Amino acid sequence: MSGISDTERMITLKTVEGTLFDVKSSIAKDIKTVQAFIDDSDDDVTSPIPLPNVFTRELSRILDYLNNHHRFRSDIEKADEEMARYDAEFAKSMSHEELKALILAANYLNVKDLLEFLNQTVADVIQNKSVEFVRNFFGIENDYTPEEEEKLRNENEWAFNGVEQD
Amino acid sequence: MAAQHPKAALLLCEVVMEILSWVPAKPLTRLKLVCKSWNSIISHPHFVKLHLHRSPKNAILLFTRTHFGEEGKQSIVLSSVESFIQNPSSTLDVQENRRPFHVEDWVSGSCNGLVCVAHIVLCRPNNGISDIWFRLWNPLTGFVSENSPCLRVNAHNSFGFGYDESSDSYKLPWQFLEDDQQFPCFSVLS
Repeated sequence: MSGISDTERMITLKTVEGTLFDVKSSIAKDIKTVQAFIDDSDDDVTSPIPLPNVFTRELSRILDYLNNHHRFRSDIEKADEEMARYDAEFAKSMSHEELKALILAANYLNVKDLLEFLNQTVADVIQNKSVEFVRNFFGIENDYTPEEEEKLRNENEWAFNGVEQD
Repeated sequence: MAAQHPKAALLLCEVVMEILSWVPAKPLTRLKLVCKSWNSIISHPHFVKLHLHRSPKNAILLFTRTHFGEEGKQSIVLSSVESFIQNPSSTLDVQENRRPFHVEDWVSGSCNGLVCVAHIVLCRPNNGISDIWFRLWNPLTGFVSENSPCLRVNAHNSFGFGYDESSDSYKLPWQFLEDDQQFPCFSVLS
């Protein structure tokens, strides 16, 4: 119950399911889409801001991430180490489907640091996997003919050594 | 709560591009096979630059010459200084890092993952004038460019190799005994 958090302005966000989240304005600053909405409003934003593309599960994760990162940053000494540990746990706690859903939400809300971290996480997941795994992961149909695929594979043969079994 | 998440929503193209920009070059090349649109994203000069921007900077490379096989044949071994210090013998043994190299070749410089190799075509010992050409070599993909036009130079000239951001081209700075001169070598190679 510190004095600072008592006086800080709160903003209410509303997800697709109608769940309301109260967010400190210092956290809302990192959610660029929300901040732009606030900047565009002439009056103080008192009613909940609707987020028509964001689900409760994703918003709650995003706010968790931002709250924790704000907390880490206030303690410079341990910041990097704790943040790295938290980030690793955060990435591990999600299924691939959840990870993708979170990327969509972070992209829509324009939460830059989180989006970059999630993109790197996906890059780490896919870089040693087979082409079939990656197609599945992204839900992509193979639009090459077998001949085209064979040709491209031969042209880039050097890149196919050392692929993990999925 | 009945969550109504749309299953496996397709990630937007801009997001896919961001994700791919974090994938290292070798696996990235494999991902060209995912579908045609990924192939064009990955091959696009715009993306190539974004990817280069994300690559580790200041990697210091070590070029070592070793003899191999027949007379006059050498190979050049490319390794990172870091892995060489940690494990000298095995680093130099990695076949993947080796390229056949002519005795008359030397490395003029390297930049953005490209190595510039100079080759003496003709050397006239009496006046110190040599004819040389340059080639660009990408050690990762094995790509070797065409030979540059032949140059007639003095043996006392020295060369470097670098990327000029303002003109988006690779250049070979060329130093004479008295004045400096530059000439563009190749336009962008990716």
